[in-house]
Amino acid sequence: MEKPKKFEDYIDWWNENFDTQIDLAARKLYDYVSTLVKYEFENSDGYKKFIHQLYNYESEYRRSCGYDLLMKKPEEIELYTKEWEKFISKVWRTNVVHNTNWKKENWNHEDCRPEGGWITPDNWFEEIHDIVRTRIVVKYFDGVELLLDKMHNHFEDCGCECKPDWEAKEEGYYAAHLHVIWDYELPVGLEIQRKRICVEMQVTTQMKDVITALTHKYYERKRESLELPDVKWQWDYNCDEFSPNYIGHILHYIEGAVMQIRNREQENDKS
Amino acid sequence: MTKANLLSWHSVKNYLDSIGMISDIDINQVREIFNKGEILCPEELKMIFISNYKETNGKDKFKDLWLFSDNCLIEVLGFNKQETLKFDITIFRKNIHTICIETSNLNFSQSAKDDSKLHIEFYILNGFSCDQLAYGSNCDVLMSIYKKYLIPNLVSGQTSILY
Repeated sequence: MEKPKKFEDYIDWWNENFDTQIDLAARKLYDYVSTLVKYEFENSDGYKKFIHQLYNYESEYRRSCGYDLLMKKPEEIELYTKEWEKFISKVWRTNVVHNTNWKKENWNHEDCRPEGGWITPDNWFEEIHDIVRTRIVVKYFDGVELLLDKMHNHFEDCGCECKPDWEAKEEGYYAAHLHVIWDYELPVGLEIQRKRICVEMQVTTQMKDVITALTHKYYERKRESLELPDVKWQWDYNCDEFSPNYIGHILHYIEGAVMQIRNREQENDKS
Repeated sequence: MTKANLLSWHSVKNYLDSIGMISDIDINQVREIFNKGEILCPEELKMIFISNYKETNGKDKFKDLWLFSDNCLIEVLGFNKQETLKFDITIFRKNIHTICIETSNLNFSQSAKDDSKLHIEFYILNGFSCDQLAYGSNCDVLMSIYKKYLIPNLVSGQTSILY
């Protein structure tokens, strides 16, 4: 079987080949669940206390090094829900684009399922980790680890399961994520089902936030393509990836170098 | 049509009391939706329904809201959790092709009990569908919607491929 080439074709392909359907009801449930998770997380004591705690982390960091930790006031940090189209695109990428078990011949559900199994309307709320997400921007490189650790401890103390994820991709994408997992009760037919759903809290630096904003559209386009280029992007200086990817790596290096200079200055001041 | 058949804020408020909605934030949100619905709907509003369920800890939860006129319905999903209200409006008159019903502890010949549950899904020929859930006395309201608005508009026909 050929892979559905665009995520727009994915829904029809799925509905023809699987029992669980991706239809208007599934979309409405997704909209409800993503809104519910955002609402409940945003109004939870744990999140409200965390926003308050950010002021303490800010003071603590300033006392230790003399610099500001955060780019924004804590109350300006917002949570976002993932749009349905982007959500389905992510499901398509996992089930189809990155599925190394896919076979053109003798295709069947069992042998051709992706590593970790198919993402279906029955399990996608648990399997997709960013239906609700936020991004906290710090000024300096060392603020990322500090804040991720603080968040980890805070949300674990609140009873949430937390999974940190340090991303460093060949394409120059560097990011730290904390997946904060909690049980949410959802009405499904007459039943109330309990689902463990993740809110993704990203921590990034000011410079990386700038490059993310610049390259966002490009990565979106790339994610939605099934075709691999003939030449590796590292050797094709005219390709779309070359500059943004290397700028990502260079910025990461510069941010590290800024930290080295800052730390040396502090050591000199002490001596 | 008599004025008494029209949906007033007073009757909406009585309905909210009957389903145990006590949060001022929720009530104000319903009021805003009701006011906007009166303007958006091409006809006079006749009925309101809010889906509700009980969490395992016994807490009442309110989910989606519908306003009905004779021919149209307005749907506001997650009405008390949205920051910007989204209204879906469709015509259901002689336009419903399928209704699915699930019940628990509900006898149709008697009033609903405290633990009665009723779940109705219906599908409109233009591809629109509604998923309505009721708990306790709200089951009686959902049953009256079923009798008044769904059954009389059930027809045979082809579904749309739009959705």
